[in-house]
Amino acid sequence: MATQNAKIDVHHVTRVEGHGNIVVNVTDGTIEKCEWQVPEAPRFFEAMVRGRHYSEVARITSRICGICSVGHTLASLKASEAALGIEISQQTDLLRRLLKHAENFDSHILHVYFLVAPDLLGVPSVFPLVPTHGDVVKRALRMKRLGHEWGTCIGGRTTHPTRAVVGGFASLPGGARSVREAEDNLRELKEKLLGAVPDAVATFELLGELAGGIPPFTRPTEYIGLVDDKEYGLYDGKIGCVMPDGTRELFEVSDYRSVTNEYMTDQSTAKFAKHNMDSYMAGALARINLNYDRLHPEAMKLAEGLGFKTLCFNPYMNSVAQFIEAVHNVYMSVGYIDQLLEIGLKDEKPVEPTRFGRGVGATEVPRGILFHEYEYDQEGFCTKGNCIIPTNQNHGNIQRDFDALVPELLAMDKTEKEMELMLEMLVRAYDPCISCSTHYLDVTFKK
Amino acid sequence: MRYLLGLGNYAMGDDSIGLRLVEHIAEQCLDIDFEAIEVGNNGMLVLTYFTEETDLILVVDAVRFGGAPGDFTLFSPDEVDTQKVTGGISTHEGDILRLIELAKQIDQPIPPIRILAIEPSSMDIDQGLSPELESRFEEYVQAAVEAMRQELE
Repeated sequence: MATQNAKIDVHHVTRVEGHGNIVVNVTDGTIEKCEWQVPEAPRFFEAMVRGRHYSEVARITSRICGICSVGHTLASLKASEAALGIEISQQTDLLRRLLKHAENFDSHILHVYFLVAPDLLGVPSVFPLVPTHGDVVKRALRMKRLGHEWGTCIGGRTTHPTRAVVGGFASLPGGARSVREAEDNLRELKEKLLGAVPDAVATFELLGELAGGIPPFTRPTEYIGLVDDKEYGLYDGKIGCVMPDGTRELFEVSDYRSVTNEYMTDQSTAKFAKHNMDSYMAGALARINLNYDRLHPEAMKLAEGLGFKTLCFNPYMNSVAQFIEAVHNVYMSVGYIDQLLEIGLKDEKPVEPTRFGRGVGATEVPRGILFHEYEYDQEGFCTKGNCIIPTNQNHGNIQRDFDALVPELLAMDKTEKEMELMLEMLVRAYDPCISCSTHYLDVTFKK
Repeated sequence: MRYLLGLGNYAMGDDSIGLRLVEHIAEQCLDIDFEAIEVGNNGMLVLTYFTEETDLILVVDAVRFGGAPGDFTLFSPDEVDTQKVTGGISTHEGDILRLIELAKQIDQPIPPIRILAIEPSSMDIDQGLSPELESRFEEYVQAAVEAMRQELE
């Protein structure tokens, strides 16, 4: 007997970055309402950058997100450099890739351990895990600290990095005063990365144990992310699209609007996006579906061990894809450090503009592909800006997943509570980063 | 090492006070003998500063402590009880008191921590501060820098 009546009204899904609501009404077996709502207000960053000098723009737009601020910085720098006719050096390219991987690792560890694992372990948050899984919590914090030290070494800090600037880097890794010291800092970072391998293996074992708790829901959809002809698409590349039947397309980054096709809906103040189908997914699962063959061999080994196969149409597997990427991030970064040490670091000055015009930059942030676009006047002041963030690109796909999942849950005779949990877990799997999060304190003084 | 950490969200009105304050202090180069860091809404980042080597953390944040909007006070975490009911830790739900609680539970070092609390007027979606906080911004800057220096003496 299928569930006939259900009323779900989750006002602000917990353990996501910001505010999003789930509303489902089912009466006498009829689904009257089934919505993923995002009550997010416009933030006007595009207006804020107008009139600002190119040297200031990345610093402003990195504030779009405290979790993905490295990605916003890099997408912004790439867009500005495209507009300003700047070709960066190999050293800058490698250092930026190192920084990008640091952010990805840091964010994925936060998401997998602190936001998703409690669902799989059947507890409401990380706190109840301390007495039963104290070693897991400590490991999570150890890995989070590594992500922080990794990003700080390259970018100056992990939130709103200071060293990555238009044309290059403002200072050497670790803020070193000499090339030799900087190279030592990179060697030290490499040792730390390799030192994280046992934690990665332990995480793999934990995920193997918990994998049975991942809902088996699948819904074929379109996946969009960067595809890099050199490596797994993360820092750079063209826009790749893979359809459910495996058909692939590539688009130039400068044509991003023809891919994102943003539109407004009544149910949400955030924009939705669509491409060939009426929605698409961005993020780790999209990236791995597009780039599986380019995973680092060690990461691919773990993916195979977890039974991960592409094309994977289960959005709940996004968290598993994130962990596979986290391992990929570690090994790729060890390789970048080796390359940097092999070519020898130089104390380079940032490259200067050669022209002023329009440019688009794209990079992957933990939650998916991110686009920035700017136009500059002849004195280097921004006249126009546009940023398309991945969470907005995913809203439509979350809605379509809801549309497919709710009837399945009803047919399985799930209770309201069970349905609510499954829908919340689905939202959390996408790791949405919605801008309206606050975490102010509310206290009373002890007598 | 001593850290001045600014928490908050630029898009949520007075919730951004910690961020704006730390940003201003760094821009004015007032952070000569400490490090001023914009933590933003990446609250878990705070835990990475919980080490044996950390001499002091001063957190600047919007805090409802019963004052008038714009009022500020300085306290230690053990002087207060949280009134906030949260399901866990994320950038949405976590606060510094919850993070300290987590660190204690897993025996992580807890450095000396002080909180510069600023009573918000509005934490609705807004890209700026309320007039109450805007007009007292310089007072907060002085209070933060003095708190860092006092602790150093």
